Amino acid sequence: MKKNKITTFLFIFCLLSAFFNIKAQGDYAIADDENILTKKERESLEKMIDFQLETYNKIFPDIISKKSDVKINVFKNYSAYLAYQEKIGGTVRHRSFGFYSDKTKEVVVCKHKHEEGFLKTCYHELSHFFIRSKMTSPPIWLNEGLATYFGYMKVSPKKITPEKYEYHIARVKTMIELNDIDLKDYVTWSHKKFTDASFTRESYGYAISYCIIYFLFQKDQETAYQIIREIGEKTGTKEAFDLHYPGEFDQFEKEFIEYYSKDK
Amino acid sequence: MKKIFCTTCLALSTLFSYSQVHRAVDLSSSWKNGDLEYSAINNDYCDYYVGVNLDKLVGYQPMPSPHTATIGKGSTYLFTLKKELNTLASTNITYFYYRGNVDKKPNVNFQYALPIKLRDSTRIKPLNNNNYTLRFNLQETSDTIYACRGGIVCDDDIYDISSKGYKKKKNQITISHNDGTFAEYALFTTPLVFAGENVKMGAPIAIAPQGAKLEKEIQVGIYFLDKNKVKVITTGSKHTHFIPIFHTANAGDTKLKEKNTYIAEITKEVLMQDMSSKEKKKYLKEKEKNNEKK
Repeated sequence: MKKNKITTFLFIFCLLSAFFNIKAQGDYAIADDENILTKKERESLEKMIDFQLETYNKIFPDIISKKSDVKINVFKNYSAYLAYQEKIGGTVRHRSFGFYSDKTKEVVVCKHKHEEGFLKTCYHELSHFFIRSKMTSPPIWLNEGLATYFGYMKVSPKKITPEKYEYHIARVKTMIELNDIDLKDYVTWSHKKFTDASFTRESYGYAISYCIIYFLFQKDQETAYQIIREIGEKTGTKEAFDLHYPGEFDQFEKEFIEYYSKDK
Repeated sequence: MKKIFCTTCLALSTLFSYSQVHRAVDLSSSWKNGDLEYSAINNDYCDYYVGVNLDKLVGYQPMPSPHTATIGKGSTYLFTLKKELNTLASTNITYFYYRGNVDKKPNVNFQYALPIKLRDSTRIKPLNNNNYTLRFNLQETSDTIYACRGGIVCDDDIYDISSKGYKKKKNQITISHNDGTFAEYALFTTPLVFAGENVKMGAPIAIAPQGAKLEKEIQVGIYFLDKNKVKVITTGSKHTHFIPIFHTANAGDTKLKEKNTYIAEITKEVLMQDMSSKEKKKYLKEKEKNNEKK
């Protein structure tokens, strides 16, 4: 009799645990108390969380993230958004509409007038969340390249597809024509060098990083995953390409330049 | 007798509606034997890239098919709209224009002269404004600003749709170079050259700000009309700034770095870069004559 009671208790306990676990996995942690997000925006955002979750979990199968891990804090008022940045002790970014906080492990966004731009910011910052949950200090080119790549995804009711960011591609084509690009050196750039070059030279760093990721994903997704995974193991970028890109880094550089030189 | 109704509805609507702003390029049309001939008039002193869109084209045959053209100063014939017989002809024309020439290859290896007096020294700082622009510190130099490269002074009292914003900076001089690049000088008080003037490398072009409260500096940016950006339909900048090479007396030909001091020098090699072989010969001959006199 006593044995039966214990079995029943254990059965109910397991059932409840499973239920709560599923519930926790099924919830999106989007803090939007003021109902700032429209139904369409929320749906797009949830779709993108699922999409990035799937991609990053494929790249890093040993560090699985759940959708409930993703914390997004949405602000409507720009002053409140700035005040929140100050509150959590980060750098106050006066000209931005979104950031990922390493301290609070959350994506913080301010909804501005342009809906499309707002969602792009959300997708971009979401990528920072995922990559930072998989890697402690990703190289800046990889971190920003992936974020810009995901930022330019088109979310439709049925699928999510990468959108060509023509402006960055045009920038890179010109850099190639002017011989103003040295990928071997570029992939070693520090955060400061990257931002300095980007803010004085029309998104120089961002344009190249986006084009590298776009090229890798277009060419062979599996190779792209292997390279990113390898960098996640704290291998240098050039070394990761040498290990996984057919023909090593030199071949990648050659093909990258050919790809964007031919691109019409 | 069959009655032929021929109505031409031509809506010439430009992308501009700024009545007070001086347009760099105007589109003009004239009737010729029942057809419409279109020309673009460039009011500036440098080249422009012009694009024409014909929307809702009915009853006209464009000859040749007009789309884009690079035009110099003055009037340039673009295309003719030949009217098809017995049809109601109409179209809606829009056009756009950007300063520059996409057919010219910018010489990024050109050695520019420092914008200061020869043998004076300066330091630089890149401006944090997206388009690569150098701020030359003029604390230790004379008040005159000199041309980094020769060319024609453009009319900056104009507007195009490239987001370049020529009118944004009050005191600004733009010099058009023969390889399609432009040098933009900003933040001086008195200009010494005016639109349409031909300026040589090292010629005085402006006076630097004076007074204790004013920052004594000149901003210089070198750019060109980027054909790759022009192809991208979205709006935004169509020009690309690049990091120029400067000739200096103490560091040779170099891309200037912060915290270094550079001394101005113009050698005959630097000066002759833009000259034709005939001009070079003449210049060297004159130089030799002058040396003999001395």
